[in-house]
Amino acid sequence: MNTTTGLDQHAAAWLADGPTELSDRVLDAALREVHVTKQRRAPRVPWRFPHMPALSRATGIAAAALVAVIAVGGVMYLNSNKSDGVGSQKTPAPTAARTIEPTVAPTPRPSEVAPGILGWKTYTSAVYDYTISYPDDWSVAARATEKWQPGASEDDPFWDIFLNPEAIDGDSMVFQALQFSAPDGADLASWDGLLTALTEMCANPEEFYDETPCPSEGMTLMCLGSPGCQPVAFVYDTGLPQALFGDPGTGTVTYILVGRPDNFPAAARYGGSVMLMKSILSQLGIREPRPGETPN
Amino acid sequence: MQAALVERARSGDEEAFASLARAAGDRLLAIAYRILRDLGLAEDAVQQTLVLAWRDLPSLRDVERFDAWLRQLLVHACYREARRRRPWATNVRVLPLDQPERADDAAAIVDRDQLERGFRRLPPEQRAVFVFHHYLGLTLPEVAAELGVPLGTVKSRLHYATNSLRAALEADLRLPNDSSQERSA
Repeated sequence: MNTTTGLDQHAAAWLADGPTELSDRVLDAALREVHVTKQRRAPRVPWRFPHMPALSRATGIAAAALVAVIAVGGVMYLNSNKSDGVGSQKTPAPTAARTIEPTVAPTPRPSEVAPGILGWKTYTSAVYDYTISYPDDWSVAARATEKWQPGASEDDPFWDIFLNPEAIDGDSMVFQALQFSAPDGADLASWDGLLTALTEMCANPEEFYDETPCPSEGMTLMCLGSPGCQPVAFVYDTGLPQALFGDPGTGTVTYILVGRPDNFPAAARYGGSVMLMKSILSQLGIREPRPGETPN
Repeated sequence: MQAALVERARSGDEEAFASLARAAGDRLLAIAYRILRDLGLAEDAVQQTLVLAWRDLPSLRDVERFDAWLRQLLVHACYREARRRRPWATNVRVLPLDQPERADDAAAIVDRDQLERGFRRLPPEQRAVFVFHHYLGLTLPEVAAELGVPLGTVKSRLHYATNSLRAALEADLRLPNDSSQERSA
């Protein structure tokens, strides 16, 4: 048998064999669960940009459909723990290796930085006091002017927002982030502690950030820092790449998300929204855990 | 028609969502089964997918992309199910090889057995790429777009998956004619 030429044929025939009908039992169970599941409102992407004097109206409208990022407190952690951290100068090259101590951490896999990112700029939030790197052809579309507080309106300016250059409605990426307080005494330095804190926040939306992803929603571990691994919860099963990590020193949680769940054309440049998210996270020193690695 | 249903479901219309779920259910199950190779897990993945789709539908801005978005949710549900049920490598389906009518039939069954065995050893990410390409018939750029990963990653995953399956088949060729000892693993 010629397995080189025959594999596709065999595979196609083999894959064709199998169930193709969903039982009513499963469908009914799903619909019963749907009946008791509350829909989430769309991500809180600010649709107005009051602090964008340099942007034209057209761009502003486009920006509303797009956008931006944020970043946050992780950098504070990095600044206090890493000698190189996220630079305050524009970095000339896109690789994450530029921001990770090469003698301490292995060079990140090329797949960790999207090929469409050719360089980085840094941004320091006056409100949250964090610094983030964002692709150097992006722009700061809005600056947070107040911290998020319980009861805040989604129109309140508590986001720092970064806009991609393809700022055309329907062809842009949205990154946004914010910081909020974790429950008192939360152990944000351990994975279990982080999940416990998120569980409590998720269960008490009136007291904490009211769209905190719940730990049951498919969170996976990423690591902040190297060596060592401060836990970062990465979520994708909602269709939106999201990351949450805490600052054990201040008890704050940084929440970053890509506001576009779909593969909009602009996402292709970055290999998809997950890749874009991971690229930005890599600039914060957030990486995939190594085999067998567990949080500190 | 579907776009209108998606719009209604996005606004909280459960009836519209039920129509969408009924229309998509079979497709989702077929894909999930082929990735997971286990009917129970596939059903769980589909159920999760439908509930997540309902919950997050308001975040879907382009209703025309509903099907692709749903498949993306499904794939991630499959990843979760796959990881929930490790290890799989020893979970081998036993096929009826005892009395093949013809030598060709026996060979075909052995091939399928080896494919099954080899496929179960693949990480779920490679399985998804293989299924999207060979079962759904998507081109590699289409697979990349559907799964939200770079084209290079898709090529790499398909390459490894194909090589693994080819190795499984070739290993079978090196076995003596009586392959029953393989099936007892």
